[in-house]
Amino acid sequence: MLVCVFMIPAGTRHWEAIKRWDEAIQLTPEEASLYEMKAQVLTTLQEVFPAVQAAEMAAKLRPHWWEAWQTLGRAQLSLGEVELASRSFQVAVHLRPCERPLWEEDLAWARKLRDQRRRALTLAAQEKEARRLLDNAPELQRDYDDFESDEVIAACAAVAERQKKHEELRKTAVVVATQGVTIETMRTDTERPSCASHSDFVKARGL
Amino acid sequence: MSTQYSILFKQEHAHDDAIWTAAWGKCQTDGSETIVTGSLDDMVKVWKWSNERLELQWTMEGHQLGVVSVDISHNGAIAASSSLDAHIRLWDLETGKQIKSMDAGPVDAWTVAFSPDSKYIATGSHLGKVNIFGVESGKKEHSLDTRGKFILSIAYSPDGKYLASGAIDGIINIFDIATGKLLHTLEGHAMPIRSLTFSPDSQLLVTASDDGYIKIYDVQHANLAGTLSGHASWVLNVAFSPDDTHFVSSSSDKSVKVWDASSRMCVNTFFDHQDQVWSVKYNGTGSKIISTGDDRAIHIYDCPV
Repeated sequence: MLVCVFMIPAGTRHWEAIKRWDEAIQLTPEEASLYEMKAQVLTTLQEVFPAVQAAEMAAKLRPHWWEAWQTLGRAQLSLGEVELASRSFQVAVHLRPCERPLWEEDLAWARKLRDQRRRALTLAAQEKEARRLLDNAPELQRDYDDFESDEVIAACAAVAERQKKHEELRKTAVVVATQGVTIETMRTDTERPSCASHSDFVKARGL
Repeated sequence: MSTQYSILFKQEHAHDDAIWTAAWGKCQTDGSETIVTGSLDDMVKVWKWSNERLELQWTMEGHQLGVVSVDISHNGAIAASSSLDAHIRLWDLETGKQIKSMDAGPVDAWTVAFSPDSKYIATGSHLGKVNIFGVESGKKEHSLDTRGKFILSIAYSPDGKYLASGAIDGIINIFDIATGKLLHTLEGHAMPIRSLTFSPDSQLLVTASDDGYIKIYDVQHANLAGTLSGHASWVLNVAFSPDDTHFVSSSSDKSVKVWDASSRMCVNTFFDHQDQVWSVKYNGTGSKIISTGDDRAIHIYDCPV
């Protein structure tokens, strides 16, 4: 029966194949390889959620079968779950360390995407923090008696410095595409062409 | 003193992910019992075993891609660990601080083992070489070539004469340490050998393989002395008791088995883990066994002595 499934041509008949696998799974629900093959086809069809579910089942039924973990990792990757995918590939490598493509393609790829994701998250967090400090500058939380004092000048300078940093962070936007190509762009903000540093002192004085 | 095998202690959720490796050592200065575990969560944890319970002492960070192997020096002062990113790290067990980090090169560190004098650490490489690092120097000082495949397992004989390696294709190599010469090549198993261990008297070598069998070799003559079946899946780890009488094995079938070394019979099976059991070790007196696995738990068992 499995042989006929293999004979089905790729593309249009993928769904037919899925149906056959489901029938086979009905008969032998403990057979990990059925779930693993079904997961591969579902991944091809971009049916990412069911693909992950099927691959998870395969890995659960045969936890020492490295190919189940590889298929699970690939399905998780197409779902955008780079952390989980990386873990699945690590498990696969631990079971089968001599499999070069596992290291050089699957794991390396997932790690690259994971690092990019982490970098993007860090940048976003930094920008948010910079924004918060700008809106709620600690220097402006107190009253100044003498508006001409050095203290006030220093506070304004600090706020201006922060604004500059915020601008920098806003300019660098890291986009992690599903294909894994990092696009780092200098964002041009057309709506607000210039909130350049010469106007900062005005904001800093809270006028 | 226990008169039968029984589970004594369970540390559930000892790590955030599968625990791939464990070691049991004894600190020479204060006599305390130290357990070191390594996990897929990248952490190496140091535990004290006292009053029949585990107490977490240190959590040591630095590894990436999962900790594959840990070992403790014979004086109980230093731990060595290796991870999938092929870094070997040395840790001071008293302070929990890293002493050294050595990059073994791409995919070139798997099982780590201290030499009997604890001056060296041996590990296998994917090109079939056994690389020996100096603990003091932190550098690769010797290399033994098996001309074979990826070496998953390494063991020194306690008398310091031999070093055995087990490869992913099931081949076992035994080297003479003094001369660096390859003494024996044994076609032990047809599948990966994930663990091997010498008996304390250095006479026997026990191997564990994905083929589900455990084999016993007479080291001097390189004769096969026995083939043991009983596990229903891969045998992942083996360890000898310090009194030469028993050894213990763990498996993907979620069990831990204790074997009588002379009769070659399984004398007890523990079925306490929920998932694959990656690591088993005896303590220094042979009165306890530790096991760890994919279920993130550490189990300690009592043994009759």
